[in-house]
Amino acid sequence: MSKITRRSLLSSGAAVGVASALGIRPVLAQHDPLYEAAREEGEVNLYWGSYEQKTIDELIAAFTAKYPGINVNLLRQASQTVYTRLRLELQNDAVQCDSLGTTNALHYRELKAIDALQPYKPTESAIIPEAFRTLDEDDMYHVGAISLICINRAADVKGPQSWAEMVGGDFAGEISCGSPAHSGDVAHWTVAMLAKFGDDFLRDFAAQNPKIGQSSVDSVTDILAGERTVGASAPYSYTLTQKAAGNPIDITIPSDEAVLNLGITGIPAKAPHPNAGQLFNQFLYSPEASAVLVANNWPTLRSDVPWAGDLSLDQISWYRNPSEGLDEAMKEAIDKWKNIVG
Amino acid sequence: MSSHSRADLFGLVSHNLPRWLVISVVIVTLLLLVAHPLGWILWNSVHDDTTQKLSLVNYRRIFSSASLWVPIVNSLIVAFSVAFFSTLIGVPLAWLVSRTDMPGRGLVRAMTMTAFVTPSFIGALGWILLAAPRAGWLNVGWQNLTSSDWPLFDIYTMTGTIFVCSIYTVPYTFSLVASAFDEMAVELEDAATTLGAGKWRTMLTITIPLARPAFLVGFILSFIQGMTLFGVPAFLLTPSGTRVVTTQLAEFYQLFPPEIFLAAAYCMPLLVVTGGLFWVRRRLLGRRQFVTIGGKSLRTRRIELGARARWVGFVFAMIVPVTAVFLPFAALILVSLSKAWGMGPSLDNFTLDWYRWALWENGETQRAMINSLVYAGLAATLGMILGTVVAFISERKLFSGAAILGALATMPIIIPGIVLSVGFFSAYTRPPFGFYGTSMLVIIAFVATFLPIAYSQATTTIKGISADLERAARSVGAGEIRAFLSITAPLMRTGLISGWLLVFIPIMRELSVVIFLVSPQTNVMTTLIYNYKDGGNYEAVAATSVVLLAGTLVIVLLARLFVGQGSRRTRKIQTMEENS
Amino acid sequence: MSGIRIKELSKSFGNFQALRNLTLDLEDGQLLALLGPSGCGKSTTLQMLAGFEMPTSGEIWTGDRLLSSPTSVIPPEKRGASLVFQNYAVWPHMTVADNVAFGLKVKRLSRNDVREGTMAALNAVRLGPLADRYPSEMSGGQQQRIALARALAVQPEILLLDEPLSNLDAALRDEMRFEIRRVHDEMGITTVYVTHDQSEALVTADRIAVMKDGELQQFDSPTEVFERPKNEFVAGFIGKNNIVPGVSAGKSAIRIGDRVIRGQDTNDVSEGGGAILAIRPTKTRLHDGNSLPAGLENGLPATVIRSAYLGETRDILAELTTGTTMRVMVPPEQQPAPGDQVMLELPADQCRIMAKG
Repeated sequence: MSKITRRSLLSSGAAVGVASALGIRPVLAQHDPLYEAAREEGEVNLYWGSYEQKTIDELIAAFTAKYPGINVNLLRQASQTVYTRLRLELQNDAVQCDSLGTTNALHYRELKAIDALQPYKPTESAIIPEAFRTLDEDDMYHVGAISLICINRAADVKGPQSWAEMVGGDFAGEISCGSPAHSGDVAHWTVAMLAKFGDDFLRDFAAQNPKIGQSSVDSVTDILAGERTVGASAPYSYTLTQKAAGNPIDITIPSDEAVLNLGITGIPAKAPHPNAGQLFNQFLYSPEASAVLVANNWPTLRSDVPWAGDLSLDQISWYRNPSEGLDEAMKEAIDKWKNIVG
Repeated sequence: MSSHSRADLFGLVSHNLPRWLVISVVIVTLLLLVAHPLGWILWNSVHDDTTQKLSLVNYRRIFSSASLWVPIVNSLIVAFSVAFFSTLIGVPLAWLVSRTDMPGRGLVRAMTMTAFVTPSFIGALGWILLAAPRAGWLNVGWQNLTSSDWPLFDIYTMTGTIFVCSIYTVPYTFSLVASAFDEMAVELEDAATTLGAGKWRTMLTITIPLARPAFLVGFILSFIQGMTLFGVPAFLLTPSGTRVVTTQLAEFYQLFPPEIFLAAAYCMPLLVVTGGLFWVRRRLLGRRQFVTIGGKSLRTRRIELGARARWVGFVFAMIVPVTAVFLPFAALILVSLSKAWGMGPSLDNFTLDWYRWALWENGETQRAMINSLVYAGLAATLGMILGTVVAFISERKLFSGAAILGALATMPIIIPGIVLSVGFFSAYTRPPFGFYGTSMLVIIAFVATFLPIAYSQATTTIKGISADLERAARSVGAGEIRAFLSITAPLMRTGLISGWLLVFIPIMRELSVVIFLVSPQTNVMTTLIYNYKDGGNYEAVAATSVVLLAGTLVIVLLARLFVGQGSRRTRKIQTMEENS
Repeated sequence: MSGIRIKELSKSFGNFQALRNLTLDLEDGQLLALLGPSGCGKSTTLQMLAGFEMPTSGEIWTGDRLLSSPTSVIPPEKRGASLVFQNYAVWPHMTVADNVAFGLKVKRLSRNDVREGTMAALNAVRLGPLADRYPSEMSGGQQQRIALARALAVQPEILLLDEPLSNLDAALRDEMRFEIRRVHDEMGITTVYVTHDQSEALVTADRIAVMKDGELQQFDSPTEVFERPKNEFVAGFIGKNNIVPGVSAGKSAIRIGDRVIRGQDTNDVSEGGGAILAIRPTKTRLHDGNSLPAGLENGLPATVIRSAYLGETRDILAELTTGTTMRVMVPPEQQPAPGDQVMLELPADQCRIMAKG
């Protein structure tokens, strides 16, 4: 995709420009002992469900450019699939994964509970938005991606301005949505809606006769195909990428708070290349990675690099599910969804 | 033999050392390849997911929970309907192509094979583009034409699922029945004709009944397909919240924490149903001999349909090519040539970038394509070799209990790929194997999963070759292995190559069995495409699908060419009836 | 080369006893015909001789070499026994010459020897000129010759023929059975020939073993089997025979109705027990009137039922007073008409008397 590559080069150039104007200098790779150790290991196996193929491909390309000599192997499957895979590896004592990146915080709580993660402290952690700086007091896992769930709409309609309006009745038969049983993003969104509006939200939602897909991006597909005009639970970055490619789609940040879901990342305790895994995870907080993220319409993980479209975390109203009791809340949400929505 | 003492047995074995060596190797291989992972699945099924302890809780849950029965009932409905419709379409299609003067026979045959090559989940994607209730192109066209408010089709239904599964399953029935028709000796029909039976009556009383075993096998294979397909119901039934066994299984894996052991137990009802089908087939076919005795030549007499019926037949025969190949691939190609497919097809939106990306820029696609071809080629070859030897041992009853080997080689077909995947994972990642992450593991999984097809193909071929041909070789001094290699194997050649294709193609399109087995280096096309779909990148999905189809077709054509060359010399092979 | 000794050979398949206690000795160079209806155990015997089946009990020897026993079977390829199949079993993917050369190649003979051996075998069955054809281009008779040449080419110690002519038409069959005998005479290979056709057996064999239901009925020279059938089954199976039931009337005598006929006992019959008399239609004579001409004996009164003119002879069917019918071949000059009362003369040296059943 030369076109996209060109565009991403331009914007990454811009991002680097911004970064240097702010006086941020990338750490020189040569003097980094972690890099030395990682190069010793020679390769890294990423099991990632966060970021779609193209973004993570470009992240890897930028990583390889910055840290030559490390061969990156990517297994990009759905978050639940890579997690199940790691569980199987753990069960059979054959861990291959060096860096797990999924959209479900529960994965990491579970892995931590069975001592399957190893702690690390990112060197540039001060640059991470404060709200996400210390996800785990033992530093077993850290933020790997920020996913913002907002309302999607076909470019030629106004669409609902808030979650409440969406289920108000004006958009019956127009809504498409993923399934919380399949997608961590959708599950988070469901938990958030239940927390904000109670069970009635799901009842009202079901009454709109929504079309239920699997993945959170299925609603974008439905809007692009013309099948539906409103997407309930799609990630902001994916929609904006589609929009940038020329597709007739746009987003609305709901007035009653976009739902923010963090992609988490951690390093398995038995990872064969732990240093390389850590190097990659820390790279996500680098200006180079931010440039790639901006180019692909993803929120950056640095508080000093604005997102695409000059948005930033403090400009929008957002809601994040509390991590306490999240697993119960998720189970409950999925059960309620099954009972109410189907 | 049981009454013989140990010394006697030694005497028997020592005289036939090569035979017993081969048999031992085959038994060990089958145990490792099939019994070992299946054993793990069984073992897993009696463990509790939360406590990891031995328990029957999974079975209790399945039997006591109505919501877990619903997917089983749905799967049975889908499977029976798919088997029914693919027989209903496949049998007449095979007859039209191989026994009548219908026009375009070659085209229909080639296109039906192309449908066979297409992974059905890709077909389902195509059909989503075509027949989604509001935006499907066929529905939009229909609504524009008739200004109707109602869609012509809704693909997100059980009917839609059965339809898509069926059109991609017809090729199984078709190829089985067509080859039965192709190989049937014309003398058998002539015999009826000389007794005064008209050509139609001959067809109904001789030709069709003789091909009955092929119908039954086709029906059972289609049933199993309908039961074990994952991609199609995952895409088409999820929107309406309808679950079938495979999507329910996937959900078990998606749960938190994943209920891997429950999933293993959940397969067991499938095993019972499919095992029952095989038993029914045994009962129905009984001990009747269906060996078709080859005549002096394999000329076939075609039934003249008459001017109108020929074209009616042609229209019928084009159902599968149109619905399974032309329409969905037209949709996929349009998408793959779009910069942004949501913009619809227009010149502004035209681009070849996705192909350039898939073929040249994206290392993953290249690696996956090569992996797919290499693994499928190797696994099909190894599978055919093993399947042939097992078929030979059990057909020629080289030792008492040889039939058990055949049963073992058939087992993997009835287990959904996603569960097999976990079986292989458990079996081969632990010491002493430690194959995890290697191509070895993926190839082993493919060989074992498709061994049933290899075995049944080889059995059919061996049944057509009289054991006397081997005995003749032995009586002039050739050992058992030499006789097999210089007589049986060359005579099986044509059958083995088409068998090889029948294994190669499903491997190319297999998705679920390797889902937990591929590593970044051993990724294959189907898992790659499935991931692209998961990431919503439809243009990339469409372009890689087209690349996969093209790549597979090239290999199929090469193999066909190879068969064509080989069969010229041995086209007059006589298959002889077993001398009872 | 050596003969074959079969000792108390038995074979059962599950509950079915295919062969019971067969004991046979065949001298070196002889041709043995195993003769009997289907299911008599002859093919089972041949399969055991070839080494494809294992005996349930008993042994097979060639010379001092134990070929088969329930505990040890020398595999087919190491027995020096070539088998010719009923369905020819020629290999369709090889030329005629390749078919014949196969066994020689297995023996790792030099190229030259293979070529010479092949041509010698092909010439022996007169197929030399067709060496480069494929079998499918040839007739059934020619295919059977390929099979024969293939079996002979390896110069086996024993040649086994399994109903080799039954798939051929009548004319070819006649020709081929002389051919087989000729080849046997030329090569002198100990041969076992399985057939259900008594005329094939009579023409080709040195010794005939008649079998029924897995049991040996008679093992003799063709003349003996034909002339002196040991029991009713053999009498009925070999050639045309009149079988007339009666009651034993002591040594060498049988009572049929109110008459006593003298003949030769072929097995033990106890006086007063059920017996039969066997005599060939060609050996039976017919006299007009109610009594035999003077000096003749062994007469049975009968009524002519049918008379058919066959050119060389006349085929008469006559009914005895006991209700049994007999066929008689008479010279065409004799012209009895249906309904005529006649006397049938059964020359004592042609009458075989044996126990019934």
